[in-house]
Amino acid sequence: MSPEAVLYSAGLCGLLTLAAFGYGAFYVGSKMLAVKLIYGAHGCYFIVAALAILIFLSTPLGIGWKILIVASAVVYAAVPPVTWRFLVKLHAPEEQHS
Amino acid sequence: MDIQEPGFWRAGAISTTAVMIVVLIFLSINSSQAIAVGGSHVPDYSVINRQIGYRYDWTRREDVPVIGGPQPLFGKVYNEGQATALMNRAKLVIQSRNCINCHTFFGNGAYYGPDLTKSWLDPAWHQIFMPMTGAKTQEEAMVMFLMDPPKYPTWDRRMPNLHLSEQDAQAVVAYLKWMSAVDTNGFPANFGMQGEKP
Amino acid sequence: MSTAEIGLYRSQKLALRYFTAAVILFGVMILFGFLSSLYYLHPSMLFKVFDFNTSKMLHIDTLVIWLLMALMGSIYWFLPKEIGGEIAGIRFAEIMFWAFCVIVAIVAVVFIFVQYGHADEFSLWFINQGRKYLEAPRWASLGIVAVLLTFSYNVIGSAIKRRKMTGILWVLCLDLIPLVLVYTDAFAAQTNMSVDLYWWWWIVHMWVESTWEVLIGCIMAMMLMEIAGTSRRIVETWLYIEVMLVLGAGILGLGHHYFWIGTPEYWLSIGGFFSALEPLPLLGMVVHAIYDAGSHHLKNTNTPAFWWITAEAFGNFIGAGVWGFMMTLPQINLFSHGTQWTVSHGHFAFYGAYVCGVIAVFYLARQKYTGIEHLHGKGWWWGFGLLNFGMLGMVMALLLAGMAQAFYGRAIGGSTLMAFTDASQNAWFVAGMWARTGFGVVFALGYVALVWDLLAIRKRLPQAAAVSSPEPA
Ligand code: HEC
Ligand code: HEM
Ligand code: HEM
Ligand SMILES: [Fe+2]
Repeated sequence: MSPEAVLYSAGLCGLLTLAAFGYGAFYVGSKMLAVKLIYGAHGCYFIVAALAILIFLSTPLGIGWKILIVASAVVYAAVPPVTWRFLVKLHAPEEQHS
Repeated sequence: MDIQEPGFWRAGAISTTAVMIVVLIFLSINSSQAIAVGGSHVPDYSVINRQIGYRYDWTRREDVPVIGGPQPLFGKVYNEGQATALMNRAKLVIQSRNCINCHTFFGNGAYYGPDLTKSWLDPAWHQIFMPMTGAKTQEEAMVMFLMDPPKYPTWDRRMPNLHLSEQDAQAVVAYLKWMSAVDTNGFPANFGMQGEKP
Repeated sequence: MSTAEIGLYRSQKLALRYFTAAVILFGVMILFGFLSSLYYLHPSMLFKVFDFNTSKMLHIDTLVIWLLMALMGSIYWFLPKEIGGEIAGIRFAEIMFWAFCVIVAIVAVVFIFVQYGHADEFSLWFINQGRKYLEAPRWASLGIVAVLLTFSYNVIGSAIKRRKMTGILWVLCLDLIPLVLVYTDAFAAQTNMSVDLYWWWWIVHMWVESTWEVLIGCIMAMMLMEIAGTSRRIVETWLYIEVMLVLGAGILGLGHHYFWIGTPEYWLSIGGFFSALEPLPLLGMVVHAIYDAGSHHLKNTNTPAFWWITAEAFGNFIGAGVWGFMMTLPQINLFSHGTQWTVSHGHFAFYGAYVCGVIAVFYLARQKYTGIEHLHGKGWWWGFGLLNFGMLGMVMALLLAGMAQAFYGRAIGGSTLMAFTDASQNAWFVAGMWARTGFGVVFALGYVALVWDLLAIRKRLPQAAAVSSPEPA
C-alpha cells in the first residue's frame, strides 16, 4: 500500500465505524427523546453506506476485506432496530406491573 | 424457543464460547509448531552462522527473510547447543534490562526507541555506527554501541548505558541476528528500502 | 466510624478500601504517565537516573493494578446483595487486601530505586521480569495469584455456602477460571520471542477484550438491579447475550495480535475477520445503555453515575470499536503497528471500557455509603468534563503523531533507525507529542476535580441519613 493509501483507508474505516455509532445513537434517541432524531439516524446510515461503497471502490484493500466491510455495513443497519425491538420485548412483562 | 427466556441465550453463550475456545486451542497447537525453533516460521538458533537478507517475495507479496550462505558471527561458528546457550543468555539480558519498555520486538513493546525486529539488517550499522565506533565489523560495532550507547548517539533521544558485559552484548547481537531471520509475514514493510517498491 | 457505615456489609467496607487504593493508584498512574510523556519533549531529562522505561513501566503497571482493584472492589461491593448476606471467607479477603497493598508498595520501591538487575533468574524473581505489563517480579506475581485465588474463593465459596447460584454468579465464577489461568503466563521466561509473545497476548488480549469485559458486564448487571430495580430475568438475559457476542468475536479476535510475531499467515484472515465483528456487539451495548438510561430514570437518583455509565458505553464503542477497527485490518496494521497510533487506541479503549465504568461504581458506592438518596449537584461536572476532554485531546494528539509515524517512519522510511528518527522529528509528530502532554495536564486536573467531588459528597451532607438532595440539580 502506498503511504497515502494507508492513512486514507484507515481514515475511511474509522469514519465508517464512527458513523455507525451516530446511527445507533440517533436511532435510540428517536425512540426515547424525539421522533425527529430519526433523520439524524438516516443521515448517519447514509454516510455508513456511502463510506462502505467508497472503501470498496477507492482503496487498495484486498477484495476479501472489502466484502467484509460492505457486509458489516449491512449488518450495522440491523443492529439498532433489532436491539431496540428485542429490548422492548424483553422488558414488556415487567412494564405491565409498574 | 422463546428469545425472552434467559435459558435460550445461556445455551447460546455457552455453545459459542465453547466453540471459539476449541477452535483457538486447535489453532494454538498448530501455531506452536510453526513458531517453535526450527518450525516453519522460526529458524534454528544456529541460523546466526548464516547470511540473512530481507527481500520482497512476489508470490507471497510481502517481504520475507532470505537465509544465505555461511557468515560466521564474531568470526566463530556456533553449533545449535552453543547458539541456544547464547540465546538463553540474551533473552535474560533483554528481560532483566527491561528493553521492551523502550523498544518494540516484532512491533510489541514501547515506542520510545526504534523497533528491533530487523535491527540486524539496519543500514545504520554500516552507515553510522561502524564509522563512529571505528569497528571493523558490524557485530563489533553493535557490541560497542550496546556496551556504552550514550557514547555513540545519533540524535538527542539517547539510549542509556544498561551495563551490559561484553558477553551480554554479544549474546544480544546474536539474538538480534536470529530475530531478523524470523518470518514475520512482511513486517516491517520496505525495511531499509526508503519507500521504493521492488 | 460514621453512622452511615453501620448499614454496610464487611465485604462492602472492604470494597470501599479497594476503591480508595484504586483511586490513589489512579493518581500515581497519571503522575508517571505525565512524566513519561515529558521524555519525548526533553529526551535528556533524568537521563541515567530515571529513564523512560522505568517511568513508563510504572505508568502501565499501576494502570493494570488500579483497574483490577476497582473491578474486584466492585464485585465485593455488589456480591453481598447478590447472595443475600456476608460473603464467604471475608477474613481472608481483608487480609489479602493489605497483602496486595504491601506487594504493590514493595514492587514500586524496587522499580524506582533498583530498576533492573543482572541477566539471571534472581532478577526475574526479585527485581523485574521485563515483559510489558507483567514486569512485577515473580514473587509479587505469586502474591497476585494468591489475591486472585482468594477473590475467586470469596465468589465461588459464597455461592456454594448460600446454595444460591444465580445466572450472574455462574457467569462470574466461570469467568474467574480463565482470568486466573491466563495469568500463569506471568511467570514464563521463554527464550524464543515468538513463543513469548504468543502466550503473552493470551493475558493481555484475553484480560482486556474477554474476561474483563465479562467482569464489567456482571458488575453493570448487578448495578442495574440495585439502582434501577431492573428484574433479574432481564439483566441476566442481556448478560448472556453480551457474553455470547463479546466472547464470540473477542476470543478469536486475539488473532489481530498474531499478524507479525512469527505466526502463520492464516492469522491475518482470522484476526482481521473477528476484529471486524468486535464493534458490532458494542453498538448493541450503546443502544442498551441509552435505553436503560432513559427508561429507568437512573438520571434521577445518581446523576454522575448516570453520565459515567453513558460515557462508558460511548467510550467503549469509540475507543475500542472505532479506534480498534481503524487499524486492525492487516494491510493497514502493517504500517500502524507499534506506533503512537497503538498508544492512542490503548488509551481510548482502556479509558472508555473500564475507567468510565468504575468511576460510575465509585459514585454509586459513595452515594450508598453516605446514605444520600438523590445524588445531584454540579461538582461532579468538573471531573467529568475535564477527564473526558483531556482524554479526547490526548487520543487525538496521539493519533496525529501515530499517523505521522505510520506515514513517514513505516511506509516511506521503512522502519529503520533513520526512518524512526526522521518520523520522530517530523513536525506533526512533535506537535502531537506536545499536545498529548498538554491534554495530559487537563486530564490530571480532571482527576483532582473527580477526587475532590467524591470526597465532597460526604461533606455536603448535614446528617448521615439525609433524604433530600443537598443541592438541587
Ligand atoms: C530508556 C530507553 C531505552 C532502553 C531501556 C533501551 N534502549 Fe535501545 N535505544 C534507545 C534509543 C532512544 C535508541 C536510539 C539511539 C540513537 O539513535 O542514538 C536505541 C537504540 C538501540 C539500538 C540500535 C537500533 C538500530 O536499529 O540501529 C539497539 C540495537 C538497541 N537500542 C538495543 C537495546 C537493547 C538490547 C536494550 C536492552 C538491553 C535496549 N536497547 C534498551 C532507547 C532505549
Ligand atoms: C475493551 C476493549 C479494548 C481494550 C481495553 C484494548 C486495549 C488495547 C491495548 C492496550 C493495546 C496495546 C497493547 C500493547 O501493545 O501493549 C491494543 C492493541 C490493539 N487493539 Fe485493542 N483494545 C480493545 C478492543 C479492541 C477492539 C474491539 C479492536 C478491533 C476492532 C482492537 C484492536 C487492536 C489492535 C489491532 C491492536 C494492535 C495494535 C498494534 O498493531 O500495535 N482492540 N488494544
Ligand atoms: C485513564 C488514563 C490513562 C490510561 C487508561 C492509560 C493507559 C496507557 C496504556 C494502556 C499504555 C500502553 C499503550 C501502548 O503501549 O500501546 C500507556 C502508555 C503511555 N501513557 Fe498512558 N494512560 C492514561 C493516562 C495517561 C496520561 C494522563 C499520560 C500523560 C500525559 C499518559 C502517557 C503515556 C505515555 C507517555 C505512554 C507510553 C507510550 C509509549 O510507549 O510511547 N497516559 N498508557
Ligand atoms: Fe486485542
